[in-house]
Amino acid sequence: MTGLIVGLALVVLVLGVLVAGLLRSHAEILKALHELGAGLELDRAGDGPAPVTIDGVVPPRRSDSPVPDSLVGTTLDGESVAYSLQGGSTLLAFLSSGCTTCQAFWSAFASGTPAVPAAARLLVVVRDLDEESESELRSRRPAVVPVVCSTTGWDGFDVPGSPYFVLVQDGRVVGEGAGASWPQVANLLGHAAADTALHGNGAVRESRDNDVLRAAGIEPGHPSLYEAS
Amino acid sequence: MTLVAGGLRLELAPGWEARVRRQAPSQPGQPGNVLLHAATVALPEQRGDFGSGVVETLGPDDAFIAMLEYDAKDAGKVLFKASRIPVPKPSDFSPDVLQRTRAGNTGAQWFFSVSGRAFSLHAVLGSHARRAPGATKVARLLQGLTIGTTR
Repeated sequence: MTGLIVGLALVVLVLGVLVAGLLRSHAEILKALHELGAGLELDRAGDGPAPVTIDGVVPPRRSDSPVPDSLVGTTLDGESVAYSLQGGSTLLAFLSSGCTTCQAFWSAFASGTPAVPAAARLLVVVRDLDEESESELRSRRPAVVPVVCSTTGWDGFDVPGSPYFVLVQDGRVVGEGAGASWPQVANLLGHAAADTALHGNGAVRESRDNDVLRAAGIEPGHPSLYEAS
Repeated sequence: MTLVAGGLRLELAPGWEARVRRQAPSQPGQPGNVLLHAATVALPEQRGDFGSGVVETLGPDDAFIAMLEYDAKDAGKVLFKASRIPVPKPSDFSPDVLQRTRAGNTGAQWFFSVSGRAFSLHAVLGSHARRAPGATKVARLLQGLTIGTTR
């Protein structure tokens, strides 16, 4: 009987240690979340989403953040170029001569222009030649896809590293990211372009809203458009 | 958007893109003369000095210009006596002023010298019928062009 009681006491003691350990682990997780800005008290504050920065993870670009209206640089032949990003779709492929992952993209672009999401114009952007290996770039230069050396382009789009892709439509970034292969990136940006087409940018939304208003008999100048709410 | 190269400074309006390259030098050891291309359509990597490879893609409201520099010693010749960057007018354009005739297109050409440098300017519009807005578009582009003495 005494042995049983001692045994049970030991079991209770071990369980108590385990529970204490779990509680301590839980407290450490909560503390870590709090330090990342995602503590529980932020939910009660109701001030909107808290920005969280994690090393190695690129924060999302704010939808209203300004983007360059152009890409200015030089080609490998020494030609000075300026591309407008205000109209149409342009896919900027930020690559470099030294990155291993970029090799898959240099190969994908080598022989021709691949199928690009949103029928965008594809431009490869590398940093200026004083930061690149010109001989490597020349050996990898695609036959058709233009290569532009533009450190200002990298800085203007806050490119975190290579490879990195930014899809610009009518002066807005509608998709960006990286991947290990061209099909992955094309798929990612294809979804972004499709989402933009579905939900619309300003022009699409305006057109869609106008259609709804016209269907309801509300044309431009209708008094209801000017009533104070 | 500003493109600075070869002693040229070009402020580009939205929708324009431009490229500046050097022509083969007329004398060994000397820098080649400058060639400026600007268009409201994409400028392909391979294109002719006067726009072959580009003008074929112009829509009715598109425009293309090619500005070729000549040797500085030619700046004093009567051909280049105009001393300012031209201001294109609709009446300057004619379907006959094209390096290669293409249905609907219209073109114009000017010779001038600025800052001791001699140039010819060749402009092509996608539609002769719409040359009035096209000429205005080109004139606005050229308003943003500055030519310096240094090449």
